[in-house]
Amino acid sequence: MKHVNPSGVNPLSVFWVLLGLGVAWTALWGWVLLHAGPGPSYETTAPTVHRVRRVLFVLFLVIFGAVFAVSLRAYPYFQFRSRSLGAPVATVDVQASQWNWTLSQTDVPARVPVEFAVTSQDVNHGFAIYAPDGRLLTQVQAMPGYTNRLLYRFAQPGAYTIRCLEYCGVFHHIMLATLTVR
Amino acid sequence: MTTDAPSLNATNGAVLRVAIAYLVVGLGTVAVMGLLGVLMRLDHAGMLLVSPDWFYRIMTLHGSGMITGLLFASFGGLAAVISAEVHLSSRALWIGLVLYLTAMMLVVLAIVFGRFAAGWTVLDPLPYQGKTWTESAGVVAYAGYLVTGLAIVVVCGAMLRGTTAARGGLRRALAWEVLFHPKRPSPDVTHPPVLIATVTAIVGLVMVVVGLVYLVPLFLEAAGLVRHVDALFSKNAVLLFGHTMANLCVYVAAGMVYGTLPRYAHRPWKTTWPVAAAWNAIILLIFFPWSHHLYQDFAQPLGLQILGNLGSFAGGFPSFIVTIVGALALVYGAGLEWSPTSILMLLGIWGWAFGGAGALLDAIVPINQVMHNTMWVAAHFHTYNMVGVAAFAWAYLYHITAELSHARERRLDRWAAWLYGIGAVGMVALLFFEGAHSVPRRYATHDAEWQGYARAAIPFVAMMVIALGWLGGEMLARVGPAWRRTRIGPL
Amino acid sequence: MPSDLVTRWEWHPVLAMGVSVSALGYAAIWWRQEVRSRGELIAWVGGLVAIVIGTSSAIDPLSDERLSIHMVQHELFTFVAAPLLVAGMRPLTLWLLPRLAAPLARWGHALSRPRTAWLIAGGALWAWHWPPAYDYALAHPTVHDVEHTTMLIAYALYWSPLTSFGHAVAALRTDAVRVVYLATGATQSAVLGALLAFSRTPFYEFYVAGPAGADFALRDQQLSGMIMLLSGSVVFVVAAVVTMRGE
Repeated sequence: MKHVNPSGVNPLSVFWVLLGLGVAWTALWGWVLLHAGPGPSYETTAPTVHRVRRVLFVLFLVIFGAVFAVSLRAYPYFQFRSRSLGAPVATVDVQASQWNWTLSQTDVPARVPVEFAVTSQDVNHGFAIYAPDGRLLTQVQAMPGYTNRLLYRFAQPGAYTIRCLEYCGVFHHIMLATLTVR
Repeated sequence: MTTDAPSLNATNGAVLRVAIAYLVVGLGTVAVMGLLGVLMRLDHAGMLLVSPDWFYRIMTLHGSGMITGLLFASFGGLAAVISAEVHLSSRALWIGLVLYLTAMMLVVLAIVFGRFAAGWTVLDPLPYQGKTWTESAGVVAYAGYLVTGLAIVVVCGAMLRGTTAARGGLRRALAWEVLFHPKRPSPDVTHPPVLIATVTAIVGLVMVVVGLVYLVPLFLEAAGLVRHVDALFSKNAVLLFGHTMANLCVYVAAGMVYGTLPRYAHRPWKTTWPVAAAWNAIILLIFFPWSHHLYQDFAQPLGLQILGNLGSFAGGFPSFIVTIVGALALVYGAGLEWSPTSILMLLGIWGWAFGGAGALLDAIVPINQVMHNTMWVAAHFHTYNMVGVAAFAWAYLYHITAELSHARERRLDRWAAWLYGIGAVGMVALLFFEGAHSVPRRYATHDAEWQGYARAAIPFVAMMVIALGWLGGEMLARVGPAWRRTRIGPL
Repeated sequence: MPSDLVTRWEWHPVLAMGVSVSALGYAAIWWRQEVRSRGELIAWVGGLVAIVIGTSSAIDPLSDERLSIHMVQHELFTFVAAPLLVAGMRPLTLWLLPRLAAPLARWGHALSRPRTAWLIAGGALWAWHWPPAYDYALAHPTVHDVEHTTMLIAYALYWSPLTSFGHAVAALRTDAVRVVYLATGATQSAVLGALLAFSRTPFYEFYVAGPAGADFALRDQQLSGMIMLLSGSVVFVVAAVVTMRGE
């Protein structure tokens, strides 16, 4: 069952992008190493290197600028998500503590924006929602003295797992809760 | 200084000795921490279960030992590289080593006897509220961090004094005449390793001030003089310090590459305008990306989040366009002398770019939403460190011990270097893959469906252990003769 | 109690006599040198002052009530008095050596060899902190005096290879070995400090049986461990700064 969220990114796709970049980079790197034997002097290649650097500089500016502009629309912060998802229909108060989650409700509606008001009673924790298929969908830090508001719309009903994603002590890895989306 | 000038001259024997001490102590620590890392991954693989208490203590030791070990090994290597043309105080460097050892001792004791396990990032309030360790263990660990800061101050101070004195002032040490008057020919420009030593020393000193801003309120809190330290403030402070420290490792280590790769390419690496511009820019740019660690702290002001995003992207410019491209340009058509040193340095160049790609992807905020605190993060910094900083440091230690001991290189050494590369690349690729499957980082136990990733990495880890075992053994055997050679006189 | 530390003093006749004699004797020897170093005089006097503070101020009786104060007292002997006395000892050794019987001089030299000195200091540290020994010394004043005297001498031996007395003492010759010597020495007291700082039961019956009780004894024991760990680190770093010579 594939979970689609308008503001969600598929991490596996990111991996393929990295792999693609990795292959391209390795090809270039490998090509240079294969030509590391005696060849044209540095004086001969210097102008080309200079041109390459200029091109890369502009390319980086353009690519990073574009990526930044596009990514801005998908920022996970409350003010951004509420613009695309609308106001929350349900609010869940989440208290993190060593080492359990206290949620004001464990059932939330599907296909509508839900707000999680997350705080911690002691140390920093990480409120992370995992889909039934094990994919991380969204997260926010649970900080002592702060309430962070996470807005999310569940595309499908099911049993979702809440994991702690900020190291918080000896039982960090079993600080779990279940969220039922109906 | 010509490209092929020997490392040892009439005046720098004492500095070479202390530099070798830094490299051996630092990389020795890295090796031991590496074995602890293997233990952690065997636990993740479900093959050797460790109690959560011990797992997190080992994890804390692994992280703190690795970062400081790599930083000090790199400082040592860079000091050795520049010592041929810059007079450095070996006395100051020995004092720095004592401070580093004292710091390490405090942290180890807090972990072993005090059961301290707050992670190397010691994020407040966890060090004081661990539940399985006392607040005093947190205080001792923080004291260790304070002493580490003092060690960094001493080392960076010594580097900065040396480079500015040798070059006749800070502006010349930073090659500003190239930067601001590129058309004017300058006969005697600061060489890149000396420029890098100056830049990294300045960054190191500022970084320690940031560390103090983090630590002082926490010591006051332990003493009861401050009631509470704001969580957002402490997160910003510790991550500004920590990110900068980890990032600094790469730049210091790059100094070893600028100083050594030319010896194998038989070509000088000159301080051109891009080199001067990039390294001067790094003094500022290194301080911008830290907020990418706080993307998921929604309480962080949006402006700082965007600074973190753009700052992270900006870091790619000097690293890739100048250093990485520069290294490739240096060896292209150069008639490169293949040796474990040149192989490991080029592997490190590969890793720096690949780790950078992983990092830059994670620095995109919506991507970070589904990657933060998964194994993706561990993947990218292990790439930077293993196939980057460590590769550069091992390469340099091999180089200096071989050169000083007049040892003949064995064919097997080169194969070992390539084996290290294959093992390390395989391992980090699997870590990225694991992160892409949302496996959390810093978990003492992995669910059954996650254990396959750690298991699949076993052959690659074995390759690394074999390779480093072989190369490390070679280097260790040469340290004695190399050390003694520094007392005899110029090579 | 803090005011006690300033006002409460108790003079022990034998000790007072010993300190006065060594002060006057040293001063006479120091004065008659061809080349006098003011630093050495100040160091010797400073060492004697540390001994006086440790034995004759309120620290002494208070150390029977609290392990943490006892720890401070011991550190006055081992980390303050011993290194200062050693730093000022050169005129004394130069004067004493020719007048000393050859076997005694050889013994002194042998004991101050780095490996031997290191073992003696470490041995004294662990032996005296072993709970039965520590408790016994606390309960028997004469043995307690022996404890303090042996710790002072043991640590004076430990610090001496870091100086440069030439033939009088087997000095450490390079910064590298000085670092190893200091690091391994510091580790001893650091580990002991950590064992105390992170202890979960009180080790010393004498303090458990004291008026303040077991709970207080444990907390105070943890405090004394922190004192040892943190001040010990400072002392060793200072020693490194002072003794590193750049070769």
